[in-house]
Amino acid sequence: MRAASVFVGRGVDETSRLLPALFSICGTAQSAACAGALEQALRIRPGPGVAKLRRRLVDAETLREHLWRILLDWPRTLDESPQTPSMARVMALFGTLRTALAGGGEPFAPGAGGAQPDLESADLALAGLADLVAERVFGAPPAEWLASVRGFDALAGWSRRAGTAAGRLVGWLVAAGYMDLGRSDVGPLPPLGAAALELRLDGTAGDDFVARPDWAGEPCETSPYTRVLGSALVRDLSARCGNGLLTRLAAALVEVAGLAAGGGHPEPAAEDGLTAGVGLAQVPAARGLLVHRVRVVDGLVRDYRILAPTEWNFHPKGVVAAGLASLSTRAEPCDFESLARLYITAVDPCVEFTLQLN
Amino acid sequence: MCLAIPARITSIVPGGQSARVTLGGVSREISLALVEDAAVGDYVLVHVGYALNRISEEEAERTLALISAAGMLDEELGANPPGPDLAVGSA
Repeated sequence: MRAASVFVGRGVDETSRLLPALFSICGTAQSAACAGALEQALRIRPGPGVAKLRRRLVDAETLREHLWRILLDWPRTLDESPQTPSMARVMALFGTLRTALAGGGEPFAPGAGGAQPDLESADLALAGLADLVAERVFGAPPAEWLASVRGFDALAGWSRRAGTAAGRLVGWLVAAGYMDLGRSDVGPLPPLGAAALELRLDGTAGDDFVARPDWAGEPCETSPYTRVLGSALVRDLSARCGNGLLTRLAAALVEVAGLAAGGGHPEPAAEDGLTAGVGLAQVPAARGLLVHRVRVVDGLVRDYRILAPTEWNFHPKGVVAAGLASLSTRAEPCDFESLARLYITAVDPCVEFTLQLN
Repeated sequence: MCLAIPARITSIVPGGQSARVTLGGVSREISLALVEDAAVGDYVLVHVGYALNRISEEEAERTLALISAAGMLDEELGANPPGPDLAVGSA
């Protein structure tokens, strides 16, 4: 993410305004990480309720991004049309939700004042999203799906009844024997302590780390899958298929159900600052852990580094490389390209990709 | 990367489901399925072949300048889609 160096020499407020304009797809998560890093560098805190509000906004974006994959990309694997009218409605509801939560303020400005969200409108928009998710993804209210689909057998049963593209895709993977496709030994990224992370990010070695991150000498995965490892369904599927394709798709469904039902990720614990002028923020973005690290001197950004989940997952020995290698030994040649595409989408990169088959 | 590129709509394809935009001097067709009431001359943010939402001309120019300053414009507008090339051996 060398692009982040475009902020060097700019003021703190300008950086905070411009960054989500540049990285606009996950702009909410990027804004949250930017605000958190700048606030830590400046030793300031946002007003009451702002941290929680930021987390709600990031979670809403994560839900939107998952639905993009589920409504537009998953049908393609089945040679079905992308469900664009539903996705258009998701975009509109997300916009309404975001406006309501922001409440006319600027929650991502460094040191933003107390939050004043329009909670009634926000709840209405979220209810709209839950209804859409119920109809288009689960064929049932998301909370109900979460409570009842807690293992492989229940998932397989659901896939036969659901009447949705997600259900059909799960059913096809199971019937075709592709449940554990792409399985590899690359493990999840453990929780990263700020001091240890800062050590890796600092200085010229930090450039290599940002380009090809590893932890304790190993490539690691950070993704929606690694976020929901503790859920009953994902635990059962992991025991059967490891981190293979079905486990990943189920993980996306688990996260969507949880977010649509009004659950969310916990607020970050307030961390002690690092050296003066240095700030670090870790945000659970749609595709995995997003890290921003900034150094501010005399009100100007002197260094800005972004470590995105894509860098972890697309490490030359990382989960995508290992998964594709594994997939290539198992998939039928006629299915290979669409399965490879699905696998990459299931890990969910933040880039368009070209697949070259040799 | 996490980018959506601003582009100006130059024509609407009959049927209204897609439009032609100019991106870096090249005319491309993109889907309008996710936006409402887009018209010729409007600026939209484009991502993976979809217009996501309309933006002002001022915002479009500012964002393009930023993407260019970040050294990402050529990569995003290249003939091939940007991103890692994943060479995979067949079975």
